[in-house]
Amino acid sequence: MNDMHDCDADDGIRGLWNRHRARLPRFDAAHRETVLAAVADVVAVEPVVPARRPVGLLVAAVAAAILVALPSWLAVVSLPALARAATATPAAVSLSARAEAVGVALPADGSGRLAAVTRPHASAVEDRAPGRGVLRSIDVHTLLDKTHFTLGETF
Amino acid sequence: MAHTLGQRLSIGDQEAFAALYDRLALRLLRTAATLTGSVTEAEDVVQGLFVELARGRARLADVTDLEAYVFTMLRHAISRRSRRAAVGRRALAALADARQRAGRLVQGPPALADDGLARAVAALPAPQREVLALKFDGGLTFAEIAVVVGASINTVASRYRYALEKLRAVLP
Repeated sequence: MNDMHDCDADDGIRGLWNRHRARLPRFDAAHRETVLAAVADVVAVEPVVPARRPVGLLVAAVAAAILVALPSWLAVVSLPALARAATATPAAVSLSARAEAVGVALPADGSGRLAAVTRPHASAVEDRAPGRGVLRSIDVHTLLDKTHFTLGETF
Repeated sequence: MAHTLGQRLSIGDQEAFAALYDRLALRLLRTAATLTGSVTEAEDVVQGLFVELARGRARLADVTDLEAYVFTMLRHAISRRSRRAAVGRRALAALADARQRAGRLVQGPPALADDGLARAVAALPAPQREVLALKFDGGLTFAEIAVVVGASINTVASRYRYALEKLRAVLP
């Protein structure tokens, strides 16, 4: 759509508009001087208002940073998995599944030693008795909170 | 050395502000008069607009389309004023009601010429009236109006077409 179409579209309206405009009360002839005097006052007295900081840009950058970081947090605290792990009975969810949900790797050989915590911001407390290990608890640190829950299951 | 009008405005060059006034003021005044319904209001709005431009002059150096920028500021200024005026009108209506009951009249603000076109334009939906004012009074192209009102060119052209159709329907 370009402005060439206007000529056809507005036909008599523009002429009517111009005649209407001619009947408007006149603008104050001194308006120009009043405005320019006000501008001069502002320029002389008021310091330049610095250009607005790109607040939108900052907010977008912070939001982007959060979004980038979020997957790793969500990986650590897979909330549905965590909820399932916390509420399910030991019989329904194995220790390894629950440990995996919060990023704690258990030894595959059943040697009774706790393997490394595989995800950041999770830590496990190991308590081993002779001959067997007991994974007492797992701490999961989130942005806002630290969730602590006890597994208390032997491995 | 500053060259463009925007750059000269940004350093507070008085002649640049005078040049901007000479270039845009009449179009701004007419647009504001159509949108506010008052010549006096239009003069106040345009004066406020220039003061606002002077205060924020630092950013004018980077403005690429000065006309669209200034008309966008005008639109915002009128919008803010309309919101305040709505509150004032309610108060004035209450006052007029009270004075009428007491047998005295209240003078309203000076209005535009009261003719069929003025009434028809006033009856248009605000977005259509706005496009018409920016087109006829502001002398802007559809592309410039689209920038000013933050809509697509097609939307602007549609509002313009609908406005003309409505005016044709009610005018002799």
